[in-house]
Amino acid sequence: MKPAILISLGILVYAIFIVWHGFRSFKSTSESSEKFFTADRGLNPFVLLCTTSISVFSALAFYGAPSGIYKDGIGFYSNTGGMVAALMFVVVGYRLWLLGREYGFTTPVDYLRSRYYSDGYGLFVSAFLILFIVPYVAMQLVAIGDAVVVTTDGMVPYVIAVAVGTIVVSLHIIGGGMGSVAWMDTFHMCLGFGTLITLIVYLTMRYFPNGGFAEAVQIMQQNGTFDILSCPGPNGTFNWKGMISNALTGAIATVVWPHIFMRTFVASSKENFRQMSWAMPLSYVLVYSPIVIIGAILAPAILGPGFEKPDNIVAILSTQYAPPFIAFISLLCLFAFGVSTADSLLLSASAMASRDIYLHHVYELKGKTSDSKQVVKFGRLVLLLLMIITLVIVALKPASITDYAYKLSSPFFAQILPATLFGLFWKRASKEGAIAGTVSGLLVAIVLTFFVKPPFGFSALVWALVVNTLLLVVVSLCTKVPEEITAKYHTRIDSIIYSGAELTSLTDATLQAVNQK
Amino acid sequence: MSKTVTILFVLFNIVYFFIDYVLVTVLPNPLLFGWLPLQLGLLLFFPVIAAIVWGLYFNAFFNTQKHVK
Repeated sequence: MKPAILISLGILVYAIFIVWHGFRSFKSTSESSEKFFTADRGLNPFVLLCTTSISVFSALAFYGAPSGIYKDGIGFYSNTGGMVAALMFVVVGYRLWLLGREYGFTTPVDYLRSRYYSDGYGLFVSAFLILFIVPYVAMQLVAIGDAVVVTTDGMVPYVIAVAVGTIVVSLHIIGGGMGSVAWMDTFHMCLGFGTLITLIVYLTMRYFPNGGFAEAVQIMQQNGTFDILSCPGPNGTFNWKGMISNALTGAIATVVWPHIFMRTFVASSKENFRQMSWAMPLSYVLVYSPIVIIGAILAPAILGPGFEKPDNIVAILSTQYAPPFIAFISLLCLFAFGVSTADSLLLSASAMASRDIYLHHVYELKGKTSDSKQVVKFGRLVLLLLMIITLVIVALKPASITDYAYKLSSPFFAQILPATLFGLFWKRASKEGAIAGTVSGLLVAIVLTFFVKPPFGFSALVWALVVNTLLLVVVSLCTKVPEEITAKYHTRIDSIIYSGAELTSLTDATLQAVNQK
Repeated sequence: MSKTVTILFVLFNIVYFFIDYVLVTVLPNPLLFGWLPLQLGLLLFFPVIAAIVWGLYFNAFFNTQKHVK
């Protein structure tokens, strides 16, 4: 049988498995929106680690990062930002988790609307987050579609590949909600890591048998690709300004990406955060190091300089330079990275549409009692609608995966970062400040992304965040925050974190003194 | 958590991120072990040290949160 047919059959089996996994828990997740959207806030540390990490590693990480490194050098790795996402997840996430437990928050909008006591602000944020989730999800599916075409040698057409990918991802979430997504992400994390190691070991042993990476680097010194291994890289992109801009886009604001934000609410206990503090950066290192080695050493040494389609280097390496089995598992790895990000983002869009728009504006604001099953049903309808919109976008197939997604989605998600941070740590942050900051940040991001070149070598996102933060602070200083908001979001949470801690320290000290006597 | 520990933790992070985002771009770039440029080595493996420090700090912090169930 031809390898392309075997690979196509393998993809079909994988797709059926994912849909089956989702619909296994269809009945139980239909009972309550809490179960569907937050898995009853019961994810254990390992599952939370895997689902958070792999949700950050999108198809852009597996295909876009090696391509970015091949084009612009190792500085592209700054899109992990020194694993700052892990630090942010613990520092910001623990407070958000406490707030979620205290006040029942599920989505970023739940928190922002309530903290900034503004339904209008909540509606605005949910609208632009949902709007910009779609292109980011579409990019995952475009990457998968492209890879399927290359790997099956054109046997599976692009349109069929993206249609199957979109339908599979959507049905998986519609079936099982957050619980299903989290467990499948855990499977994908293990699959992705195993595949990357297999790919690297095979390519190294096959093409550099006499010295491994050292032999590959020697070849790079001779074939003119050695600049890839240094900053600022072959095109001078990654000087310190480029590094900071890239870190802001790809890492620092990660914690406020809607699907990552939602994961701060689903931890089963504070122990999750204790373990995430060391396990999350290590998981990044484990998964990202092989990706970097592919883009920085193996691809330049094997393919040489000036490869025409750098977006496809992983697909080309795994199909034309490796046997069909490696090609198949590489494709599965891409599915792992792409599906895990796409399903998490779509679920967060569905949660915001059903809870923050439908439930809040149709029921809560009118004083009506809501039916939890009805909310889940509406969430599933939203997912179907998003599936159709995504299908239309992937059919248009924009040219460059990384550029498109980074240009549109990441900078917009990042605009809720100042409001989130100041809302957690600064009592004076007011509704007017948050609105002024977020709106101005979005406007600056649009202008500097599409119309005016960002000044002084920094990215549009850097300027957008600077303006956003400045306006938030200045306007907040000129306005007042209601006392009940300060009591609810600062006094109360500080008393949980610090007063209890002081009491524990005092008790420990007293016990120690008594024991010494 | 004592104030000194918190200040040291903040200082560590300032130095760490300064090296990772800024200093690494101007450091010399000799090959280590015949294949690993210093800049790439720092970008890839410096975060392991950060993971250890963050783990130690937050382990101590969450020991003060025993009252949070």
